[in-house]
Amino acid sequence: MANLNIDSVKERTFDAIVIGSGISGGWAAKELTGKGLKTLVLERGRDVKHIIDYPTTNKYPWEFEHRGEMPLAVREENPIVSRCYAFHEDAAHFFVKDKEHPYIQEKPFDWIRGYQVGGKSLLWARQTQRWSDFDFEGPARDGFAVDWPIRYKDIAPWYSYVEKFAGISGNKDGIPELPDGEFLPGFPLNTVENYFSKHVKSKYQNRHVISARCAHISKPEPIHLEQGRVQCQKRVLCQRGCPFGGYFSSNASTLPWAQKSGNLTLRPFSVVQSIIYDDQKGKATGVRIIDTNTKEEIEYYARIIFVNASAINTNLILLNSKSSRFPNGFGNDSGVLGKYVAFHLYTASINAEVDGFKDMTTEGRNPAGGGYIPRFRNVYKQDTNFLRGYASGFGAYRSSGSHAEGIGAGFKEALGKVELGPWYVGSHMMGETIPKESNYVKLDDTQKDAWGIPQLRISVDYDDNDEKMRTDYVEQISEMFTTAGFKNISVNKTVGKAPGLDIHEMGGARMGLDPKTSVLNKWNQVHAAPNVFVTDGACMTSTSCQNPSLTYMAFTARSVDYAVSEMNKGNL
Amino acid sequence: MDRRIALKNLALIIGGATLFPSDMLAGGKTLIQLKNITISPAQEKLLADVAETIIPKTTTPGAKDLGLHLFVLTMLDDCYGKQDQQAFITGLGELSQLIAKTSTKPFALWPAKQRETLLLGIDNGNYSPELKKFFWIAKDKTVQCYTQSKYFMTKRVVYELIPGRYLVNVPVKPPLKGASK
Repeated sequence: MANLNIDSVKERTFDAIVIGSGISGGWAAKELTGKGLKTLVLERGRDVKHIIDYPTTNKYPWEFEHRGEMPLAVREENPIVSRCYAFHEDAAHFFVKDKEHPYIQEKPFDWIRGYQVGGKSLLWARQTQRWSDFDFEGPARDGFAVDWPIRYKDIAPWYSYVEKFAGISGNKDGIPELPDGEFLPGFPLNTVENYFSKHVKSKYQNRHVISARCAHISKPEPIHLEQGRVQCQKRVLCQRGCPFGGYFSSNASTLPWAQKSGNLTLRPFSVVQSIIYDDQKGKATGVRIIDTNTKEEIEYYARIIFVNASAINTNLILLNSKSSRFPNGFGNDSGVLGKYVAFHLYTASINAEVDGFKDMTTEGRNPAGGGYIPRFRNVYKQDTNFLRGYASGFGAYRSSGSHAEGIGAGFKEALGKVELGPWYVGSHMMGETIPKESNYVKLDDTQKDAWGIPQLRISVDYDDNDEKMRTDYVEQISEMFTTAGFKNISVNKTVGKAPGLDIHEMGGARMGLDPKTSVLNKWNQVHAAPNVFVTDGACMTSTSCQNPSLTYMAFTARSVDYAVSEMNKGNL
Repeated sequence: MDRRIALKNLALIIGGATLFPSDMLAGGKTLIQLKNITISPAQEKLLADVAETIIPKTTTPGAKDLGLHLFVLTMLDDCYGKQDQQAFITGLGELSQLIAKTSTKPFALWPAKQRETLLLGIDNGNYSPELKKFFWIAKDKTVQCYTQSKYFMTKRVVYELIPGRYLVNVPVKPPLKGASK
């Protein structure tokens, strides 16, 4: 029996454990296995194998029973996920339904989740911008949160490292606040987007309309072909999973790569209950999971642990990992764990009609989605009545439709005669929010989920800064549209929309220089438990207004490099 | 019959342009299994005739060929709320009475023009909100199913699953006069 137990423990012991297989967990898996570590990746959901498990990927519109629309019963049963822009018949199977993992909303918060191998990397909007020192120096300059323990120069080589492998398309625009990267050719701006770009450049200093940078392979390099990925085919059906591997996902890229190393063990259906802390050894020794099929509790052991469960679930795991050393949650000597949660402000959009350009159109579909307006407010100095700023998506499209009216044979014939209409433009805001102690997640004292784990209470809300920023976005973009000659400008200030639908929730286990006010150090390492690393959205000290995923990837690769070098030095 | 129903449903699911004899639609059973609403075979047949009036068979397939009314029912059953469903059923009943009042002939045997005039009259005429709602939903979903049918998306306005390209500054042909800015 004793031997059996020893064998069993041996079988459950790895060099490294990664909690989560999404965009950052996939990177942790790739980097750790690539450095020769036997790595266990724990995923709470089911397996999703590249191509094989993309059931809708090659379906035509008429092959969907409701042509994409979600049945009312599903929408009524799942009000939260139904508010997500991508929750349709072609991708609904990649979203967590409301009842599958309940949480308590102290304030309304739409928590959008993807519990499967690959997580939300299958579903993301694939926009990838670097941060700059205007972002990393933000908290120190503007006096909020805590100072980031790193600067752009620390992360820049790691941006390059992950960009080359993931495949990022974009142009070298030479904008200091949006540093250039290792780009595959950018997708072009169309006629009207290009007109607007030139207009903005001529009229405003330090405002730019550039081609959106995105994680699509516009032109494959050998490293992409080696992953089994090929050129993006401009289907723009990404949320179904891409059989070409045209966009970056854990499923298409990092996980198969990790698998090839022979060092990866992937365990789906494994909800992590907590990280095990050994008081005697003074370090984390492994994690405790619940097998979602058998409900069995199992422990796995490793020398280092990467927590990549997605921002809010990482907080949940850390908060639930209590020991005599950490009675208030793992690594929570500071008491800030779960606090200073922030997000991106997606609370306004603006559309308009364009006169002219009727001799030009587009053909095919643009994976980048169009243009991007980097943050121009409060960059070089404070120039408004609110802190920080916003980036904006910007796109133009040529409308088309038929002039069919009535019913009958003539109507039917007319439906098939599609004619081009006017061009339209649209913009949506993506604003930075200020992390605050009062925006937090914590464990409920009594209510538990299906696995016996405390339910989360989420208390996250907008503030006055957000409202002022929204007002400014509306004013500025409206003005830019007006001076560009766009007509019928229509502002949509989304009313009553809860935070969360940006799906950019961040923080709770922030990085910082001082263990008294932060959970992680400059290597994403838990101050008080050096063999545990957090490199997903939970680590974020501030939110910038750039999309965060690329930064998670870079943090992860950098952190693994540090962790393994420390292991090799015998420090971990 | 069951096998034929299964085939019909399969044809619907794959968006098929499978041709079925229209007299099948006049059978004693409905062709579609619905979860939330109940309609009679006669009502289903009338809806098929309405859809056929909106999208008639010409030199190209029409509503009955494409099973468009079955999509209307599927959408009504699955994607609409109780209030809309009830209005639709009530409106369908009112349409049946309106037809009977107008002519002793079955609707399907009316000349196309007469069928069109009756249906178009609903929108503008002095009719109940239920009948109007019925017509709007029937037309909207019939047209949606038609323009998103395999036939339409492969033969009329072609949908490309894999465009493989994104081109900008594509000149419009034939060029429009005086449109540039």
